[in-house]
Amino acid sequence: MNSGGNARHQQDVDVFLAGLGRFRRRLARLEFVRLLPAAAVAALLVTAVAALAGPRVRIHLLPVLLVGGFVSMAAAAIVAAVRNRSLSDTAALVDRRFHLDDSVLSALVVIDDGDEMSGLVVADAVRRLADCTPQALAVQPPRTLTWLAAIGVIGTLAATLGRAVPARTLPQGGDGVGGMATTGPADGPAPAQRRTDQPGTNIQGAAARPQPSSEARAVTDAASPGAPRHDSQHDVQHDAQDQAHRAETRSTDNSPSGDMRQRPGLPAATRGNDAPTASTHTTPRDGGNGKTRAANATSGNGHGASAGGSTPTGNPGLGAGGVNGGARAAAAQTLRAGGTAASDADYAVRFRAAWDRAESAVARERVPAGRRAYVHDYFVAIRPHEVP
Amino acid sequence: MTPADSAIEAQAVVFRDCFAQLTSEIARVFVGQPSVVEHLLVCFFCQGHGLIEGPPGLGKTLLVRTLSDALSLRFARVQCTPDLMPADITGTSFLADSAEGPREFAFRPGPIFANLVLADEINRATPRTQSAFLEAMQEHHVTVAGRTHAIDAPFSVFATQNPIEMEGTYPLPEAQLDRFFFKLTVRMPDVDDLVEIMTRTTGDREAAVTPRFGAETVRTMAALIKHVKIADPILRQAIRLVRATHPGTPEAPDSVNKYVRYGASPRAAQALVLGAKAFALLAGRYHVSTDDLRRVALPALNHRVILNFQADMEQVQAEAIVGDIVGATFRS
Repeated sequence: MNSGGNARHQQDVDVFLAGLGRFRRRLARLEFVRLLPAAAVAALLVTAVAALAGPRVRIHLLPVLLVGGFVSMAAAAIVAAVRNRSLSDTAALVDRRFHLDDSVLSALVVIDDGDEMSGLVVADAVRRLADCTPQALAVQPPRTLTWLAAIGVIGTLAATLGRAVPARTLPQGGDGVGGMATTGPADGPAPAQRRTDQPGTNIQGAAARPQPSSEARAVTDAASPGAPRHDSQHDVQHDAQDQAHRAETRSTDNSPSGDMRQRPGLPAATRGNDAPTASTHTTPRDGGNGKTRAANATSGNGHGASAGGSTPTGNPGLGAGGVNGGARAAAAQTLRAGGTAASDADYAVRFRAAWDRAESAVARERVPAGRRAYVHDYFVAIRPHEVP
Repeated sequence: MTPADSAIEAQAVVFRDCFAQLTSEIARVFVGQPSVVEHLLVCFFCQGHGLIEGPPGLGKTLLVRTLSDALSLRFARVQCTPDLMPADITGTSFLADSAEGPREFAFRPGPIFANLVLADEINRATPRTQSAFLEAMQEHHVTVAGRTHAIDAPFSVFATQNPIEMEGTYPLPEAQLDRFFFKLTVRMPDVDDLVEIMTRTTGDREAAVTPRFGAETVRTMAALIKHVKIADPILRQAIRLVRATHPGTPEAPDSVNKYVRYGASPRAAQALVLGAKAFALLAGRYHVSTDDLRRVALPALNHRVILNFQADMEQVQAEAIVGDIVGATFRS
């Protein structure tokens, strides 16, 4: 080619490469979009795993979902960049999509030949590419989209169920003191009792919060050693004795739950806290009782109400362990409150014995890892003054 | 547009014009079979040799003779029979008086020295005579009495053979079949074409064919075809096509593994690429596309696929095998 032909050829080459570059960038973006479903599913799966690990590891799902989504998108961007097509692959794809008779690919191959025929090939490719726009390349759904959707649905279900199952074992709102005993495995009675020691504490409102574990912690933190504990000793003693009596009666009448029988070595109070696992079938009648007792507790009469509230009156076979444990806890509270049957020293001795047994059970891993904190919080909540 | 570019484009235009003129001239005499005519002309412009197969009376000989009439080229026809000798094709040396005095052997060229040779019913010639074509077709020269005589370009041999009348014939050996660029099959014309044939051949008018161009134009066109570009990926597709004809290769489809005894040679790939280049020029392109390969796959491969005994027993045709090969290669 002469100089004019060379200049024109170079111009065609520049236009051709620029046009092909636009298609290549478009394909990279499309590849990223194609990877987004997989990224979303990955984020969902991470969230599902976090939700399933929720009972053992306290994780907030929303941040996990956000971080997982961000990381997945970043990974998709990296993969799209790595898998970005070469110029020849891009040319072949453009030829195929726009039915260009392999003109773009041929032009790319012969672009450096420098003879007249290659100049014609490049010019022909430039003409054909000018009629095509990168935007015409639409997103093609990945072949695994069905599988990804299925995995996403399963992951979402797993996350939902994984979150919902442990929530049922934790205190629910609106059930007051009884709600704690019927649903909370370890932290139910403790905050109730601890709060009933403090005047003006609204148990029902506290139980209505959706985060029972943090609730237990908050209650435990609130139970500072210097806080007043026996403001309404008479009422408490009376109520506790009544509740203990009723609970003892039910305990002897009803068959104990399997949960209680499985762990005889645990302290009575601990076993009582396990009872709600078997008594999750709270009836409206239970709710009414719980609310009533919650109201009592608000007025300072709720000490030991967890024992009574934990027993579903409409289903005496359930919650027997709770009754039993609750009765013992009520008896212990009676000791603490009235001082008529035993002194604070006796309570401390009995507390120490129960504490030792609980510690032993924890050390032997008789208590599930996720519930050890509840046991600890419970004992912290009912510990006597003289025990640090 | 630069002068050089315009020259090439002008040549391409001339090529398409020549092709159209030849097609038109042939159509004056030879009715129908457009695909056969198209492939025959491509074969001729690529300077290949063609094998035309079909039952008697379908105009195989007429087709080649009409082509020669449309060109200002030397044409020779050889009617192959069992008693045809190689010297009848290549030429012979005879003792002749020389101007200087003593007698010398002089070479009288045979019909093979024409630009366009029609070997009619080539399968009726003996293998010895058939092999006389081999050197000429491949090397474009003939050796007689120890002397080599070059054959001028353009040079093409078009042979015809009858597939149904096999008694007293000598089927072409595979080595000779491989020397044919394309194998074209002439089929029975449809009703409209038959009506047209009857009208033309039974009336009082006789169609005349006008010679359009000569050897120089053909040589230029053949050179132009070789300048057409083919990208490496397209070339590799042609190679994959050829490899797929060999049983046991990764590219071979099941039908090849089952029915093919031996596949195509590298000459088949040459035919594929050159024929595809010609079709690219005809389409107004200066590069080969996969569609061009697809168009030449059947005539370039069907006589190079040697079927086995099982294929004979099950009456499997080579065309079907090539169709499988094309489908498998361009699907992947």
